Amino acid sequence: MHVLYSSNNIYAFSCRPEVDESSNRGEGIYMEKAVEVTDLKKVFHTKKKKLFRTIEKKEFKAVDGISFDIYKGEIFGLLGPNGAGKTTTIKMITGLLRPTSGYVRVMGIDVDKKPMEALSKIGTVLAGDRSIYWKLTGRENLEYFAALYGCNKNEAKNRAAKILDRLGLAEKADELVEKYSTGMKQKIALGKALIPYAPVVLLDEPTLGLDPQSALNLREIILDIKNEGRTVLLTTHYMEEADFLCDRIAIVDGGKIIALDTPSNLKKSMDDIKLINIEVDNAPEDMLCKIKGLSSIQKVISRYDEERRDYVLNIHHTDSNELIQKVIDCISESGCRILNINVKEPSLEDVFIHLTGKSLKEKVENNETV
Amino acid sequence: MAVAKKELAQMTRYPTWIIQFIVWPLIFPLIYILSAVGMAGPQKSGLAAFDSVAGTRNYMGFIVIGTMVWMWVNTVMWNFGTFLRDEQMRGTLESNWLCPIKKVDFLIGGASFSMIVSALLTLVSVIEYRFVYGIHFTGSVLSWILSFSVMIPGVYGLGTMFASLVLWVKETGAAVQLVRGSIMILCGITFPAAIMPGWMQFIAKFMPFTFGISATRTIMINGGSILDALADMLICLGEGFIYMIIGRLCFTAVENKVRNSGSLERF
Repeated sequence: MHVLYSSNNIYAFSCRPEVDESSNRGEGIYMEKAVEVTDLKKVFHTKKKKLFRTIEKKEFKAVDGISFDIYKGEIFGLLGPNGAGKTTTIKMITGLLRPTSGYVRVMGIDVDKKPMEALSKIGTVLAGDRSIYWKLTGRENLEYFAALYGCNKNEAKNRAAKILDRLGLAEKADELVEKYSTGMKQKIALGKALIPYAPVVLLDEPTLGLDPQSALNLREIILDIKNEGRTVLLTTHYMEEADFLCDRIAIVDGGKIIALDTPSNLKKSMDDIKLINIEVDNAPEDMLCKIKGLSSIQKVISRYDEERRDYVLNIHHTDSNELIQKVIDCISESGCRILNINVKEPSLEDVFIHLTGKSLKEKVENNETV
Repeated sequence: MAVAKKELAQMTRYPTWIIQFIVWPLIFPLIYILSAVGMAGPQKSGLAAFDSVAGTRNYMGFIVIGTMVWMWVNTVMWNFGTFLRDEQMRGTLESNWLCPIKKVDFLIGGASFSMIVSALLTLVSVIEYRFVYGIHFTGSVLSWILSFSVMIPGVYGLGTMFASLVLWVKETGAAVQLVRGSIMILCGITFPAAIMPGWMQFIAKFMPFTFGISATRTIMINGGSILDALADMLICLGEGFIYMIIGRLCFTAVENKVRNSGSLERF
């Protein structure tokens, strides 16, 4: 029996994960489930109407049989491109959305059957700084949400004060949120997730739009939450963040989980794959076809970088680096100019691209071949 | 309670609320009072005709009671309906929905605050009408409070129905106009219900506020006792409870729909 003490609460686990405590990474065996997601499906029915008459009905499978378990005390990442089904999954975990089939249990409680009980076990940040009241102060926001979680006045005040202190916002606690920076607003949103002292904390894009320093601060707080023995479910568009924080990651695409493992194992799965990144001034289809036709090419993904106004070719291959010359030849023959070229070790982003054929970043147009 | 407290804190941060409290109660009935003065003709000869259908010659009192009740009902209904929509537009509805509270309690919390604010507005109105328009109100303060209180279930009921409609169609304007217009006309806020066509009077009987306004007029301008207004008050109360049940059913249905379609945060 291991008991973890946090500053404000005690979490008693009948079975603490057998993890190398010094590593902070959950590659050991976790036994107790905090969140169980079993064969979860969500089908949306859409109607096309002309005046009041339905002229077309469509079905859309947003989530197609997703199953995973999150163990107590781990940080679990849910990654996927836009439209992959991760937000729908999160909404079903929080009970905002009713599954078409399958079930979710949080701390053993069925979310669909006992939503109130399940919600009391989850602290959530959705929609970041928009999820809090800008016309209230940071303190008022936290006290308000504490009251909604059933805290009495004194308890709400105590919790809000402790969390504001922990988030480094004690001095600004009585200023209106509208005067806060984006990072501070995001911290208050995180504070809202922490206020119920819930064993499960769900964070949807917690560092979105933050400057690097604020994002780093927030990541440290997330690691603290884990160190208190709480379970964190995290979605993020930042691969480095997922790599840094998550014990395990599920990659979601097309409503299904296409990979689920620790970040290091996911990267190991790319051991045989080598990567070349080439920036070119243009990427015509015939050139891409030529590159794709080279032997040992696994995948070629081209995307337009709006900031740099050039194309980035992400080439996955299994050959030696002699292939580089052949690729350069293909580009030169097509009359395109190489702006930059580098050979690199696979990152989590590359694993993601390899598996989904898409980048996590928005506004990405891609071409791929498998 | 927490929701009501939060709403109060937010309201006080928009200083224009003072206009709603002080100026609006004075301006609103003035339109109707001046119309009445104009239509009463020379030497107020039309008052006899008014008396024959309204049962009183105190046309100013008749109008301000109607507008006062209407302002109370309208403000609460408006806040009821727009409360969830405002939260939705602000982006905070989901974060409230994720807390372990009954969703209808969240709605009631927000609306209760507006009910208190509206009650204060009514108090300000009574004081202003007494000293600015010189209207003499009859009956005790307790009987006034009672005649207003019987309208609370109806306000809650219709307000919840209204909030459900807004959450469903995601549009406030049209729904507000429909409900507000219906109440304004059918309940006879500035004119006696007796002058409406028979079919309208029939429909008006299904609106608790018709009876609430009638009871308030009996007590506040006709010098009637609570016993004189009892029948109107009981009907108002009874219909109000029926609307409360219908409102709760509507809200449950919309809550289910939103959970199935995932449309809570959609505009």
